[in-house]
Formats: sequence, structure tokens, C-alpha cells
Amino acid sequence: MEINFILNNEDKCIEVDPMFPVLRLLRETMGISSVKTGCGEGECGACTVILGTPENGIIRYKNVATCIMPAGKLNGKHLVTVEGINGDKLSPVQKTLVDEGAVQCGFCTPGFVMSLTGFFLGGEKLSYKNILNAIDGNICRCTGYFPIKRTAKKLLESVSEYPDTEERIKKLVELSFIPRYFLTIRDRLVELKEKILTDKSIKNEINEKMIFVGGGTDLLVEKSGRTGADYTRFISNMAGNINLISKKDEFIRIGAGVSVTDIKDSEVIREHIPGIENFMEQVSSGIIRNMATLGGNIVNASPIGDLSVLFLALDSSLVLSKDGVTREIKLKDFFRGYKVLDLKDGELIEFLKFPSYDNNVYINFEKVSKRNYLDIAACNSAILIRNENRKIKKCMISAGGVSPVPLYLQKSSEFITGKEITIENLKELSKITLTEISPISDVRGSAEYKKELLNRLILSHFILLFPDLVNEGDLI
Amino acid sequence: MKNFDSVKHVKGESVFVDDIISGEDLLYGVVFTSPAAHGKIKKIDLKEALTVDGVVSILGHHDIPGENQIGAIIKDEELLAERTVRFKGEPILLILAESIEAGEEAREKIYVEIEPLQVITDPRKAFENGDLIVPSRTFSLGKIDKAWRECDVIVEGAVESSGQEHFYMETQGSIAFPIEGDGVKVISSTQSPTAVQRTISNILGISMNKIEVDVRQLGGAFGGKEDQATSWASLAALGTFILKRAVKIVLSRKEDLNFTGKRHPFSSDFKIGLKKNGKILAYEATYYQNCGAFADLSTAILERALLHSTNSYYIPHVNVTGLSCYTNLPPFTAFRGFGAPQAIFVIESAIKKAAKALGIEPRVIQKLNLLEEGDQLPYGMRTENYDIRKSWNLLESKFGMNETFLRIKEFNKKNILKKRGAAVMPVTFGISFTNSILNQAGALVHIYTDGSVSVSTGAVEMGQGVNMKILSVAASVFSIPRDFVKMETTNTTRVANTSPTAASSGADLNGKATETACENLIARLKKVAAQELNSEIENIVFKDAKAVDKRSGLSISWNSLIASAYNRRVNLSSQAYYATPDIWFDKKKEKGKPFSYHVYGTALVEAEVDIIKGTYKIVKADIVHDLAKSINKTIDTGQVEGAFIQGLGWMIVEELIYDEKGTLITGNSSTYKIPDMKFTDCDVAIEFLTDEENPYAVMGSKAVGEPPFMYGIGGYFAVQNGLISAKSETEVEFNAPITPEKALLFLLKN
Repeated sequence: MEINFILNNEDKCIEVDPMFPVLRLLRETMGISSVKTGCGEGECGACTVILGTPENGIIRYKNVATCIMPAGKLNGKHLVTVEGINGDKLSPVQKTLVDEGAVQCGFCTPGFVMSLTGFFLGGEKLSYKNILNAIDGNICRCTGYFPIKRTAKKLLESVSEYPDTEERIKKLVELSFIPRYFLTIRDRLVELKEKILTDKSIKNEINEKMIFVGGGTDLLVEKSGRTGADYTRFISNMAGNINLISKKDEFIRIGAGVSVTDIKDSEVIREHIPGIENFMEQVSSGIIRNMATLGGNIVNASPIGDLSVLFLALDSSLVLSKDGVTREIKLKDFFRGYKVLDLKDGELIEFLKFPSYDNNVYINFEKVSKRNYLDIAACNSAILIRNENRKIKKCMISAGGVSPVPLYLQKSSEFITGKEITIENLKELSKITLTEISPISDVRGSAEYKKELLNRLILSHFILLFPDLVNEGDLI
Repeated sequence: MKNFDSVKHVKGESVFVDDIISGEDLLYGVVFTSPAAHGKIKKIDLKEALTVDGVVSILGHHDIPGENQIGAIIKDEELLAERTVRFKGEPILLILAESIEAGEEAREKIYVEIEPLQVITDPRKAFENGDLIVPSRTFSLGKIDKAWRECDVIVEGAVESSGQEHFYMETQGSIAFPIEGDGVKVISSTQSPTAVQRTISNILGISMNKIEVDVRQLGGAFGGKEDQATSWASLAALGTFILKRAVKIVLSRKEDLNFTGKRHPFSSDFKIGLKKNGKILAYEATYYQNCGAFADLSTAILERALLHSTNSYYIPHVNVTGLSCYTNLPPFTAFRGFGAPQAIFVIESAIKKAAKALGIEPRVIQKLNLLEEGDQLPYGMRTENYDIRKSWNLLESKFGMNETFLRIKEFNKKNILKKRGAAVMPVTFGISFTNSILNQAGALVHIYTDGSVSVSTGAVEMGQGVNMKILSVAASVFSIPRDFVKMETTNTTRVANTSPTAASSGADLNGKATETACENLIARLKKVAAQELNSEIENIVFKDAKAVDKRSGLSISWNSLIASAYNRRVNLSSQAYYATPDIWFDKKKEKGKPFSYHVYGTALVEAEVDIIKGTYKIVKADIVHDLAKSINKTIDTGQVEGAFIQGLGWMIVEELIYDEKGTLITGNSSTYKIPDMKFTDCDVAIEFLTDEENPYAVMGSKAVGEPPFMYGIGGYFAVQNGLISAKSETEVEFNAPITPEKALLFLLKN
């Protein structure tokens, strides 16, 4: 397909397979060698760039890993590599990295420059926690990260907060974080959008052979997706609920195309799932969360899919559509077997919905992986509890990594509902849970371990949510 | 002092092998490797593969014009397998294609029939079968048989430590170009330009002077490119030599993980005997080194393990034996620490177990037995300019070591679901290649007529800052600003017969050679200055980019002096050489002075364990480390911090798992996990010992690359202690790395 985008300060119009990785496009076709091939799986961040997307008249900048980003997603965007940051002098990000000794072999360095610069450009609230989250997908084998963190801290001290995007970009130009040409990008993207809209060659029809692409991050890791403009449709280009988060008729709706970051940052969701930002921090890394979508995570059907597990415990449903006909299915019924879904060819997840629970429910998500962050779970679990006077009125528990599908623990949930939270009941619960799960030994852990671990994760839910109800000493 | 090299890195301007673009004439090399861990090659069918569009040629062992042999120490490794394959991932064929896609498609279409042979992955089993690379080696001191009788307590046990993937961010890669006269120029991501040159010469059957190896910088190496860069460079050179076209081979991360060697897994037994007060009298250990399919550097690595068997302790009676065992895994290789971490983990485990038997804290035993100045090590050498107690004492006095343990005790009393644990980790590490021959280096320094300086050495820059250090040495000898000096690539035509940049010795050796070269030039320039200033040579000093007559105060600027020297036809280039003096080792007696000096230090590491989930994290570390007169503290700090985290990675997160068929199960970056940014969510305080000048290295400095790696071993014991405080009765294992799975299953033991 033809894609139009701005690469640093240059307008580009190229013909490319929409599923071709952006990293290779940059290195092999565009002559940009600062983006490095570190892993090809989105696991290391050496290929990080900043991507600017026009949204409601402003540009939203986010850091993304290009090795698993489909080229088709560049259309109408501003892509910034370190070449687009370089000026006569080093930018404050570059200079501070040098001064703090945060650079050793240098292979990961351009990625860190982009992640740090992108953090300031992105306009997230300036806090140490947030800036660390912005670089949590960048791996460095040399430094042990300490000088990089010192750099982050110093940079934070040098910049004030500018919630208004225009003003922020102006300020960052003034402070030499970015070159002047950034001031022209907004208008240029508007022009580009018109050009793309009038491009007659873009087809919108949908057929059964097509694959719907959310972030494309899993597809490019597996290299199993269909390619070619005739066979791929990017959800992000579709209209309607599919790219929105909203509340309607006492349900929260999250469009299939909504990114993990947008779920994490959504006010509506934060209000209804307290702690969501902490749960989502355990999902992959910032440079992937900025691309990966809810729909993609669900249809990938991984038995340890973090989002699937979380939303299973919220009694979620999916709204699917094909040829204008929609149907609704419970998320727990959507997973039919290992990587088998109740999804027809050409059928699309429009959005996920779950009841807008009141403040009397507790929600928690637990995950254990070999590495505490940026790793795939050995097991994960989510819970929703409504509790009145020590009695559990409603309880839904889900678990990942213990069966061929992300699992709703039906019997366990039923058992504990209506019971009091006592040690005996929790012990009985763990026995019932064991009857529902069938973990296998694999690279994430032995079956025996996963059984014990899930039990402990469920215990952790209760300990965390009801510290005063559980006598710690009796548990272990 | 910041590192000048960093500037090009932050601008994304540094050129790594894969960034070298070479026009349409470039061919891509894709390697077909053995799908089986052990077997006989029965049949190879290339018919279908050769029909793939874009495939130019597929080369096998019969296409090698010289000797099909890449073994560096022991000649046991073919570049391309001939009859037998010995590990999964062993190169058999080289596909040369116009694109990587074409090469990969052809690889899919190659049919190879392999008759399977028995696969051995366990070094103890290999030992039973008699599959040793060389006969066993034993280092001993004192009279161990007698000593056991004097011990109050004797403890025995077994220790496992897993391998570790280097995970240098830049994967293995080389690019070769044809040069006139049947020569080959190779740009390689290697720590050993000369080894690459020598091996290619042998493979192609041409003399070494027809091969030029050039190295700009490596995107990390950590030992993984000391020996294991050679095969990819040799394959690229082979393709170029035969097809007369440029050939690039860059491994994908997955290929790199699956085809290349890593840190050696060790399986060990120990026996330790002590007096009641904790004094160690006798120590015995046997190391079953899992070498993988070929010798690689295994025998040298085992030697360093044996040399570090007693870590920082004086033990009067020692008997340690090492066995280099062949298995059907990728040939394990050099990795920061070079065998020492494995041996040190064994003695620290022995102390831990002995402490439990004696009912005292491990740190009581550690402190009581610390080496003193002049103590003899099992290999005969005595410590000199050595004061590890200073680092220990500083941890007590300045960092509150004892208070930390008290605080943790209180914490553990109050908390049931979270426990803390701490461990002290003293480290003593010998500096010099244990193969004495390798302790030599060369440098070539040019001063151009404008006064700018060019320095070439045998050292390879891989992030450790060796270029900046050497640049500082040159600037300091010349008394000129650092930006007058430029470090050149490491190139075999400028500096010949180089040793690998390894053993923490890059700056020591090459810095010394540079210092000498610069001093040679200074001697010539003094003469010129004396003439220019109408003075005597002995009155000339160099200061602030000037030559000054200290009597008259008259001076001539560096630039004018150089111009004058040129006009007077004075040689403005100097080549110099350095060989470490007074080191030797007698392998028959296993005694000698293998090291120029020792680096020492002590760390205190603290961990927190979640008793419900079995997860853990390091929360704090204090390190006191011996640097002597550091040439660049920023760089040295980076080495200590980075090495510590890498050591922690080996001990508490990185899990290299091979199945019984010799397949790496954790063979991609989504399953093999190295420390990420949030892993290092801990405070690390570092105090350097910088009072003493080290007489044995350049400008009074000390080597820094490897020693701090072993502070990470403290992390293992810190986590273990946290677990133990929840389950004090349960017998612990010594099986690194610890993982959340092992931790939880330990907590669940009855």
C-alpha cells in the first residue's frame, strides 16, 4: 500500500507491504541506522522511536518499538528517530546521558534517547515513576541502569509541566529537547491527512480472508499474519466504538482497538477499576503498551493473556460484528480451546463491555513471572469481590497459565460467593480451584509450581483486599 | 570525566557491523546448523534450496581451501561440520544469497539426514564416560588428609550453577570484503582481531598478511566475542574468498541465543572442615565443568576457576580438582569472571552450610578467614599490596553492616508475609591472563603535523571505556587536551599479534604500551624543545599543551613544537610494546605467580522476599571496591554497577534451560530474561578505595571489568536468607539461579 508520513523533518510517500516491520523499513529503505535490531520481538527497545499521531487537532507523541510495528500503521503519522533530534549541540537528554556515564557500548543508547525524549514530548505527568515507566522496555546489558535513572531524575528537575500540547512542544523546542521543525509538524500532518483521505487507492471493503490488525505486535513476533494490502485491515482506521472507551447503559465499553496505555490512563476505567494503572504496569512495557490493543490481546488467545484474565473476572462480554450484524458473547465463552475462539472468519470484535460496578466492589490483579516486570506470566489471576459484613456477596475469579485458555474459575467463584472470609473457607476454596485447572509444565514453570502458585495468587487477592479479615499467621 | 565515545552513541552515529551498508554487491550469509545435538551426517540434499531465487551458492566443508579447523587452544572444532555434529546449532552449511529472506527460504529447503547418537548434557555423565577435554587438574596446598582430623566440624555438599547468556545487545556479526591480491578484509564484532585473522588464514590457507581485520567498537561482548566471534568472521571470509563479493553475516537474536556458547554451567562437590570458632582448616572441591561440544576456551576457564577456588580466604589445606567435560551443548565460553564466579559460588555455599552446622552466621566465618597481606594462595602466589579487611571494615564502620543485620532481624520479627535477608560478599580476583603468553600488547601513536594525535592499540572498545582510558593516558603523557587525541579502530595492519581484549586487562596492557609509545615521542620532542628554547633536555617539561624550560620559564606551544619537529625531520610516530613482568606459572607443579596483582572488595546485599508468592527483589547493596588510582571514575563506577547487576542476573533471574535432547528451551528474548530497568529498583552505594597507587598497571590504576561481577553472588544468598527466615528448619539447596519457582517450592516444603 501507499503510505504517507513524516520521517523526522521529511515528508515521505512510499509503497510498502502494510505488515512490513517499520524497523526494517527504516534500516533497509530509509537509510536510518540509529534504530538497532536487538531482538526482533519487542523485548529490548533498541529500535524505539517516537510516533506522533494527530488526535483532535493536536499531535499525541508516544514511544513505540519498531521491530514489531507494521509499516501500515505509519500512515499519516510523524515518526521521529534520533536523527530527528540531533542538532548542533546535544539535546538535554543526550547531554545528561553522556554526563552521567549512562552510555557504555552504545547499542541501546539511541533507544533510551528516544524513550526519554518521547516521555517529555508525550506530556505525561512529570514524575519519577512515570519517567521510569517510559523507559521500562529499554534493555541495557552494560550499565545496570543506575546512571540512566540518574539521568532521568536530573532531566525531571530541568523541565516544568505543560499540559497544553502546543505550549509543551514550544517549550521543548526552547529548551532544545527537540529541533524547531517540530513546530511545523501539526499543519503538515493535517495536509497529509487530506491527501490520505482523497487517496482512491485505499480500499475499505472487508472480506473473509482478511485479517484485522490491532497493534500488530503479536503478529509480527510470530510472523504468522497475512500480509499485503488486500488482506490486512487496521482497526485503528475504523470508525465507531472500536477505538473508544465509553460508558453506556450501566456498562463500560472498551473498543477492541484501544491500546493498553489508553486503558491504563482512562479516567472512566480508573474510576471503575481502581488500581488499573498498577495492573497494567505489569503488562509488557511502555513501548508495547502504546501499540498493543485490547482486541489483539484477546484474539491472540494466549492462556496467560493479561487483559483476558483481568476482564474475565469482571464478567465481561464481547460485542462482535460481521456484515453489519452484531452479536454478544460472554468473554468466558469466547475461548473454546487452546487458541480456538468463537469467532467466525471476517468477524470482528467491536468492543468489550463490563458492568459499571459501584464502589463497594474490590478488584485485584496478580501476576508472577520469572522477571517481575516485562515478562510473560507463569500464572496470573484477577478477582472481583462484593463484600458485606464479612460475607462475600459476589465473587468472580479468573486465572491464566493453568489451562489451555484464559480461565474463568466458575466453581471456585460459585463456592466462595455467599461464604464468609475465613481461613477454612479459603482452604476449601483452594481445593476446589485445583479441580478446575490443568496446568502443563513448560518454559514458564512446572505444572506442580503453577498449581501452587495460583493458589498463592488467590490467597494474595484476599490478603491484599482484606488485610484485617485475614489472620496472616494462619495462612502459611 | 565523561567518556568522549558517548557523544556519537547518543547521536546514533556509531557504526556497528550491521550498520555498514555496502551496496548491491553485498551478499548475505545465512548459516544452516545442525538440528540434532549429536549424530552422524548421512545425507545432504541441496537441490531444492539451490533453486530459491536469489541464492548464489551454498558452501560446505569441502569448499574450505585450507584447514577446516577453528579450535583456538585445542584443535577440535570444525568451521563447518564434516561427518559428525556434536551440538544443536553447529554450523554445517553456509548459504550465500542476495537477501536474508532468500537465504532463510533456502535454509528451510535444505534436507539433511542425521543418524542420531547418544546426547549427553550432564557433565558428570560425561565424566563417567571419560569424555574429558584434558586430564583432570588439581591444585593443592598443605596436607589435607591430616587436616581433616583436626577439624571440629566437616560439612559436605553439592552446588549447581547454571550457564548464562551474554546477551550483548549487538549480536554476533562480521562483514568481509575482497581486496586485491586474493586478500580479505574483515570487519568483525570481535574481542580478538588477531585470533580472527589467524583462524581465517588457516581456513583459507593463505598467509596472515593477506587478511586485515578491523574493529571499530562492539555493542557489548562480556567475553562472548572473545572466541565465538571467530566462526562468523571465518564464514564471511570464506564466502568472500570464494565468490569475490562482500559477505555479511549478522545473527538474529534467536540464532545467537541458540548457536553460540555461554557461561559454563558447573556441577560441583565440596567438603569443608573448620574449627568451632569458624576457622577454616581444610577445603576440598571438585568442579565438573560443562564445556559443551568443543574445547573453545574451557581449559583456560577451568584454570581460573581453580585459581579462585578459595576466593578471599586463607585456607591452609586445600585440594581442588577440575574436570573439563565434553557434552552435546553449544561450546561454553568466556564470560566476565571466566570461571571464577562458579568456583567462588561453591566456596561461599560451603561456608553457608558450615555456618549452619556450627550455629554461627556465615559472615563470622567469612571475616575470620579473610586473606591477609603475604598469605599464600593454593597456587603458591602470596598476596601483595592487599588489604581486603579495609573494605570489610568500611562496610561495618561506614555502611553499618551489623546494624543492617539487626534491622533485618527486627523486620522479620514484625513481618510474616515479607521477609528480608542479607549477605556479605567479599571478592578477590587475580589480574593477568592466566596464560602468561597473552600478557603483551602493542600501540602505535602518530602525531600529525597539526599537533593532533592518533592512537592505535590492540584493545577493542566494547563499552568498557578502554578507548577513553587510553586516550587519557596519551593526553596525560603529552600534557595536551584530551580532544587532541583520537582513538583509531583496532586493526591488525596497525597493531599486530594482539591478545584478546579480555581478562579485565585491556587498559592495563594497551595503556602501558601507549604510555611507552608516548614517552618515546616525548623523549624526541624534548630534544626539539631544548633546541627551540636554547636549553637542555633535562630542563624541558611538558605542561598545558606546552613544552616549558623550567629554568628560564620560556615555552613553546605543542603545535609549534610539532611543526618544528617535522621540519627538523624528527620521527613523529612511535610503536611500543608492553609485556607484564614477573608472571609465570608451572603447570606441572600447578604453582607460580600467574597474576600481576589482585583486585579486592566487599559487598553487602539485601533482599526482600514475598513469602506468599515466592517473588523477591534486591532492595539495597553497599559495595566497597578497590580501584587504586582510577584513570576515569565515571567509567569505573559504570563497570562496578553494571558488573554487579550482571552478576545478580546470573544468580537470581537468568535461567538457561536445556532439555535432555540438547535444545535450549529459553532460546529467545521472551523466555531468557536479563535484568530490566525495574529489576534494579534498589539503592546501590559504592565506595572506592583509591588511596594506594597500584605499581603494576598504567598510571597506578587497577583493572575493573570482571571483579565486581562476583558481588552479585551475594544476591543469591541474600534471597536465600530471606527465604530461610520463613523456613529455618528446611534444608537449603545451592542451585543457581534461584527463581520464583524454586523459591515458592522451597517455602512449601514440609
